[in-house]
Amino acid sequence: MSDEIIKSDQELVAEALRDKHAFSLIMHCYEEPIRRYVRRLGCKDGSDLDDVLQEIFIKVFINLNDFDTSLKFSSWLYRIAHNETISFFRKKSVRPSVLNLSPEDSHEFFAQLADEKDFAELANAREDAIMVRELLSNLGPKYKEVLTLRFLEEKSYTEISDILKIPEGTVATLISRGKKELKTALENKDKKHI
Amino acid sequence: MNEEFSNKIMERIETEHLTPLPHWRFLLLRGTFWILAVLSVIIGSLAFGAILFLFFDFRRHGLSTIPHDATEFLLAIPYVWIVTFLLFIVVTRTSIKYTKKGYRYSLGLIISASLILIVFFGSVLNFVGVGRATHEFLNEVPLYNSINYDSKDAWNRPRIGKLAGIISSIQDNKNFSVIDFSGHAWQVSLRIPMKDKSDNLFVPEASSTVRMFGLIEASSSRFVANSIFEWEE
Repeated sequence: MSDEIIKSDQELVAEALRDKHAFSLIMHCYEEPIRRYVRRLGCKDGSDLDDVLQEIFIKVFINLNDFDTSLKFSSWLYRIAHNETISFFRKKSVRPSVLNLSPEDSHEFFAQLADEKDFAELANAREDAIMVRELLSNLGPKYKEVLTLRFLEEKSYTEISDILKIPEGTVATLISRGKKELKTALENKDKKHI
Repeated sequence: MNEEFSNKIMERIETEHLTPLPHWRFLLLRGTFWILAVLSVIIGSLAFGAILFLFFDFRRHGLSTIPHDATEFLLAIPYVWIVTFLLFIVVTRTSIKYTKKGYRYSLGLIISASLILIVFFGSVLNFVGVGRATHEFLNEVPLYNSINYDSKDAWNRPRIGKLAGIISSIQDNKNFSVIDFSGHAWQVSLRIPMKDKSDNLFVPEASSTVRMFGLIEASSSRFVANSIFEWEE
């Protein structure tokens, strides 16, 4: 196992502050998850996604001294990624595109949801990427954000609270309401099929 | 890992000579919000202290027992301080929200905590006399003086039978001169002559501050007092 892998995030940050070349180790660890997250937020693949990612990592580098070691580094990084992506949409005056979910994402999303007791019976045959994407896209942006973080990024309530800078209680409420909306949408879809 | 992407960023860092912002800038930013939160609690507390002072000052000067008109009731509400008090609860809440971990607390919790702090410190400030000091200090400011109605204003309404001021001279046991709070001189006649101190009643003396119920006479500087009380500071 290489040296970089066993280093903690705090150590990586400290090292990057001492020597900027060590910042590439942070990118090494987080480029893929952040790319996936930004894509899930609705940023289309291609130059837009690369531009947003570049701005995210530049901002992370410039603000390294702002990292609060009492938070998880990933929460702080996701927060910057979230804010940069939203500001990218605002600058371009565009709405986030339809959620960019791969079939694996859809499978993952419903596999996570199936663990929730009130979704158990609905989760069996819900691996249709297009349908999941459509259902999620029809949710309000706040619900979409928390559900993405909870069921796709597998973040805890505390982490979501730190990423979106909202109280944990609000995270719980948004997840619960988002799930309720999703469940209603799924049931309506079922009725239409019948 | 996408080496090309990582190299591109490292190249940009090099060519644009980017460096991490110094730690003190973030400390300063966070500190500013805490200072703002503390300042807004102090100003909110001063406002609440002044509200309490004005409320008790009205009561102390017998105004709550007077069946005064609706206009006077509306005038007596300390709007300036109520608006300041509410405004600084909002400022406290906003400042706390933007501190490092302020977002973790719900709106209700922050507002309740701000309210409790401001009410507690405001009561303490009023108890130690800061409520009065704040009001009296600002009363020197013409704008505040003109929009804020206090017990001195309420007792400076001879046309509706209320007059207060400092006795400048006593002519006999029925007549004396008074300078009211706006500096206007009055010749006052008591309907019932002053008694002596053995009756255990309030007997006005020269230089004492008094408040009176009575009637203004045809001559605009004469006031006939039905009753007279000591002005309690």
